[in-house]
Amino acid sequence: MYPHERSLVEKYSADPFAIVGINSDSSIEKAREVVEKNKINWLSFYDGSPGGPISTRWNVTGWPTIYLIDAKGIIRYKDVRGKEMDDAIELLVQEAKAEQAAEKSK
Amino acid sequence: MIPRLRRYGTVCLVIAFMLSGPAVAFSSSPDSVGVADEKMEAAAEKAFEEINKKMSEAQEAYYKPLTEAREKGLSDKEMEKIELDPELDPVMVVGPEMLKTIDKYAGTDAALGACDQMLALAGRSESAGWMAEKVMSALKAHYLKNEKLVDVLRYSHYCSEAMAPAMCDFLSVVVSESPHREVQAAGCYSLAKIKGKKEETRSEGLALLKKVQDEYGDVSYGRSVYADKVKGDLFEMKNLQVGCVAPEIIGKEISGKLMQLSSFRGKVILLDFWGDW
Repeated sequence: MYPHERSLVEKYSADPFAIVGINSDSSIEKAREVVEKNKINWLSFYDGSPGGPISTRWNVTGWPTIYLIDAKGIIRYKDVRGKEMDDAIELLVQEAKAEQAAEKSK
Repeated sequence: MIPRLRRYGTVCLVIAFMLSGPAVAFSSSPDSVGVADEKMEAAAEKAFEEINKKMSEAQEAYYKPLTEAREKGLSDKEMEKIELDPELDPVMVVGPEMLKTIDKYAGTDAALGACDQMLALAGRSESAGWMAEKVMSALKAHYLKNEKLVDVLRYSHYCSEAMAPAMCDFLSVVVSESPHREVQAAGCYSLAKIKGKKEETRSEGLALLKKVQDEYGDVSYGRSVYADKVKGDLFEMKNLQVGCVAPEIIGKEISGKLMQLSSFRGKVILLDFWGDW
């Protein structure tokens, strides 16, 4: 998963796109080590454990769990994977760029 | 202490004999019924052990192209391109024999375990859907009053979309017919989860979750109770659906800095719950 996510961050570095993680590793030291070792290039909330407050509120019971949120903050996809996820990201990024362009031309 | 316990045991045995009066009259002795059951159970266990061996072999054969590719050191991308032969799908290969054996040993614990296994395997594969339906018929015919049915229901909401209507019918029967609250609660919960997946039936799902909360809140769910379990599901069903505004998250980034989800507004976000384990 890490190499693919890293490549997404690189691919969309000039576009309105970000990965936001919620990390549930058992200690913050461990989380920092994982970030460094895997050259993770996105930010993550640290949730303390799989039963942490964010995961509990979001009712997460399996990892990884994925949500795709559009530029307006609306949940658009849940638990998409692989090519389906990549296609969905592309669609949402193009949509966001089109909206930005429309804003500018107003 | 020990002698007293023994005496207590004897008293219980006598009471059990008195309670089972009429049944005793029809069978040669209550013990022989137990022995017959045990024999049946042992035979069932043995039969399913054999089938599980076949299942493992079938799985090995099915995943062979992937195992070989991994040994050759192919990348994840190349691995994704490998297509597995649907005719070698272990459910298709061993499933029919498993169904026959379930029929033969219907009523035993071993067959109930096999039903659970079959539902998990067949309930997620469209071409094996008919097998899942057979399993549900067997469960309805032989295990509707059985307390252990709860084990089979626990993950039933993970079934495929194609399987969902049949599963909903089955769960509705279980909820209304089972005499055990644990079974009713598990059935009602799974039914709620399936109904909640689709927009058209989400309000039904919400109503069922509330029913679980109101009627079965005190029933245990793992180390917790349904009242607690359902809280997260209610929040998810109301606020975490496609089309909802993502709820705010405020917390600390791994580096220690404060961060909030809404500050990423204007960007498409891949929200990823992860951990390295």
